[in-house]
Amino acid sequence: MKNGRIYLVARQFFLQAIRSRMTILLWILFSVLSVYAAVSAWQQYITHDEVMDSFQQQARKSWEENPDKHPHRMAHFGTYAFRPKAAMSILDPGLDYYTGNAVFLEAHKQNPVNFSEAGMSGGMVRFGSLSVSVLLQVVLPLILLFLGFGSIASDKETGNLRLLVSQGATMPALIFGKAIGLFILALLFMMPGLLCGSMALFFAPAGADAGQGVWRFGWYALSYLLFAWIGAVSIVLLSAFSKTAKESLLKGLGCWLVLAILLPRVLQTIGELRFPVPSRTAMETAVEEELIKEGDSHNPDDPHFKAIRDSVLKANNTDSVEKLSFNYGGLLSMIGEEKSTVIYNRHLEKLYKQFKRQNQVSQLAGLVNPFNAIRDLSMISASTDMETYLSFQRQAEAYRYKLAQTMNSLQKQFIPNRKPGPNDPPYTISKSHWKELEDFRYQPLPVNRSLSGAWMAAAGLGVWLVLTVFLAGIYSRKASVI
Amino acid sequence: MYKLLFLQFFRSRMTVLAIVLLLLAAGLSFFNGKQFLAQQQKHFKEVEKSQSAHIQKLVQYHKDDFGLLMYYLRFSLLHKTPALAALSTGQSDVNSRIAFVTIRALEAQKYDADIQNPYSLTVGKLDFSFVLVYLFPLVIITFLFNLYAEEKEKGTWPLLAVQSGKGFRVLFAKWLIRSAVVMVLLLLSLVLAVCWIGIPLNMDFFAYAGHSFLYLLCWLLLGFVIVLLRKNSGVTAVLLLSVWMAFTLLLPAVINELIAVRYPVKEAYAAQLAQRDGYHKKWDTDKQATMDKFYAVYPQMKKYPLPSATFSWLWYYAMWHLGDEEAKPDTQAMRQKLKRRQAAAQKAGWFLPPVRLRQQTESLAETDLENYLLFQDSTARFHEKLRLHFYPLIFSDAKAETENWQAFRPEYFSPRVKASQNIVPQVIWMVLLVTLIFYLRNEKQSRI
Repeated sequence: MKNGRIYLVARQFFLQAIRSRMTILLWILFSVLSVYAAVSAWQQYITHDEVMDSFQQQARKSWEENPDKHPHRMAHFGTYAFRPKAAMSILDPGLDYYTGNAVFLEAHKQNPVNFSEAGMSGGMVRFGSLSVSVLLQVVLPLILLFLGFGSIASDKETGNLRLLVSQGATMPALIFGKAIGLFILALLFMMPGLLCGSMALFFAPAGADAGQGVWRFGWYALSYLLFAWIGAVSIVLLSAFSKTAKESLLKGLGCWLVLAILLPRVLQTIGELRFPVPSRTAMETAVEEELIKEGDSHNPDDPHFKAIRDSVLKANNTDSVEKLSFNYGGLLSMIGEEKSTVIYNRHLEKLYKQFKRQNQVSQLAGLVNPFNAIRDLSMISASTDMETYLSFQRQAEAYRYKLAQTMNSLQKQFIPNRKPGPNDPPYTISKSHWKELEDFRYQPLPVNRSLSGAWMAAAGLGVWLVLTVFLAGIYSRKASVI
Repeated sequence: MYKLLFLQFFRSRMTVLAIVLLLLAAGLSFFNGKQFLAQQQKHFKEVEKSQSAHIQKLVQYHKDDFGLLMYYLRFSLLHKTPALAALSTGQSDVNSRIAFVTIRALEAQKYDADIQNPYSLTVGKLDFSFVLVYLFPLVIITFLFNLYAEEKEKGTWPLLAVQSGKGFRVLFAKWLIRSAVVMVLLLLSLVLAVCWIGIPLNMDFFAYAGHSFLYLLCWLLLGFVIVLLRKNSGVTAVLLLSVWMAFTLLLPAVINELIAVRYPVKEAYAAQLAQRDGYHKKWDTDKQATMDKFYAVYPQMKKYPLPSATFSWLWYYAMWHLGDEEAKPDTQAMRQKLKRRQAAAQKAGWFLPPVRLRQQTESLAETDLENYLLFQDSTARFHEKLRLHFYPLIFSDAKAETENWQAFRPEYFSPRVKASQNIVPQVIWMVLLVTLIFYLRNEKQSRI
């Protein structure tokens, strides 16, 4: 019975591998590294969570403690948005290391998100951090190669393969059997890291992916299971189609080097060269130039603002700004804020689109290179991908706009129209208004939104799954047995 | 004998493939490096153009109100990028090399990040440093893993061993040829870099070349040690690759984790809040008390007494500066933390040649953290210089046309600090490896 044969082959391969001292040694080393990575990431997550929380509260306290003052002062007082990490970042830090953590939100000015972990790293930036994901994506395939390169090729060399086949074992059965054995081995290797990671998730305070932990972890684990299976079958296939074990090892190493180490970097470099991004200066200059076309608020005789004043006066049937029932300065501030925000955001979205184009080269490669595919899938499931980061930036900007316009509308409503003299005290409104504006709260990206962005990577793994099964089941009959 | 070994080496397809891939990667890294320099130049030019247009326009609008003019005006300090940075990008894509600041609080402007794609940063930059640290050793592994095993497996080993003293001389000869080829490849790459990117042949470049040479020598010796264990090609390849992975990928990443956990940097956020509160809260505090604090820092400003009006530019700019002053303890604490992180990374470099190579080459290319901190210090001095120049003009309500605005062009900063360039750790490694080679040179009773 065919299934019985596959089971026997798988069992034999697995037991033989387990008994080898090298396997045990590799397993111990890999497990120690995985557990260390998970625990260290967990520690850092907890610290980061505490720090971000405490500073967010401090900033809020500072905001609320303001005495009665002019709302425009409050608009400039501003507040900070601190970026919370997703709990899943324990397993895959993704972009977290390089993305900023704090942004100052004030009226008139859009500030960048500063203080990335990488910017504060003591010169070890380029070495990156150790995470369960890096171990599973880069190191595990190599280990599987070490364990599986001889699976069929050494049998070929020793002559065993001839005997097996002559006794009725088909190549597909042998390949599937050994692949299943290798896959179960892979599961053994993945277990400590995934277990530790899931425990860390369970014990970690809710982060930027609150309430989604189970789904995202499930998606994460599934992706890696698929990746491990593709790896196992590919290695056994490589072994089947090589004349000697040494040849299969060398070919496997070459593939790993090119696909896991070299290609991702080369592709991203190509993406960057093909789609360059402007400097901050260039973008700010472009925004300024567009703003001026809309009316230069610095220029007192500007025609645009004159037109606005005239139309407002006409609409309210008065001839002087000071006779209006609301504060004209407040209205101007609201108009100005809206204009500048619209223009700046348009430029920002253009920039994000350019980033997307840069990344698309790598993402498309996921259809061909499983290492690219798993990297993207892993990051997206862990809420540490580009979309999540951009969602933080957009939410922070939206809050900034809300803060500015709330203060501006308070000015419009409550501040008298007559200009104070040089020795008069400034106009103020009650400080009870400050509490009315809620604090910034990051809303996590829903799982299905993330999922929709992962289709290319998922398709890539899907293609490889089909390919490997096809090769193993059908094409492998052509592999030579001698 | 050497000529024959040389020919035998080049007949292998793998050798040729490895060399071709390496040179292609190096070529791409040089292209990328050249683009990086060009991009830096372009950004600097944009700042220059922007600054002069910006000053012109604003002076025109605010010629009657110097205080308001200075609220908007920005001045730039640019961190010069030496040509060597094309080879070793270091942290220059993470830390901005342009400071374009107003005379208001520096702490609110100093840390502004440049525009970068975080996905690209995460994938990593393909500069020559990457090729040198990761790919060259892989090529060395490709050349060396078969050194002994191919003869043994083909059955030619006993013949060779018989011809020259236990065979060590043959192994050494083979090793020497491969080492020479690797060094020639390095030389070729460096020559290509100089010609293509236009790197000046100064002491820094020769130091860079020297460090690269030593680094590859360490790998060649390490490879030779593992080959002398006289295992079969599969085991040798696996051993070499594991060592490569440990030294270039795993151990540095572990150290990075340890440093991050040991020295969390939260002072940065405290500094931000301290600066913001330090400035803004002064609006609600006694003006004279604020001015007294300001005069304590700049006694020469005492000749400008506080006017009686509700708002004055003197009081306004004094508040901004005091925001920076109040943030000082936190910014200094942050500095200390960063320095501690840097020191820990330096120590790691003693044990890990890839880390040491990166540190030393990035220091030569002026793209490391140390140089960035110097740039920040220089920005602070630049900021103070501007303020002290403009304070009298603002406080005495001067007219804008009295100032020679053409004189305000972007300034360039060129730091001059080099991380320890001594090669003691490398020498220690080499001595250790040569000792091991001597110990292993004669064949033992191996179990394989």
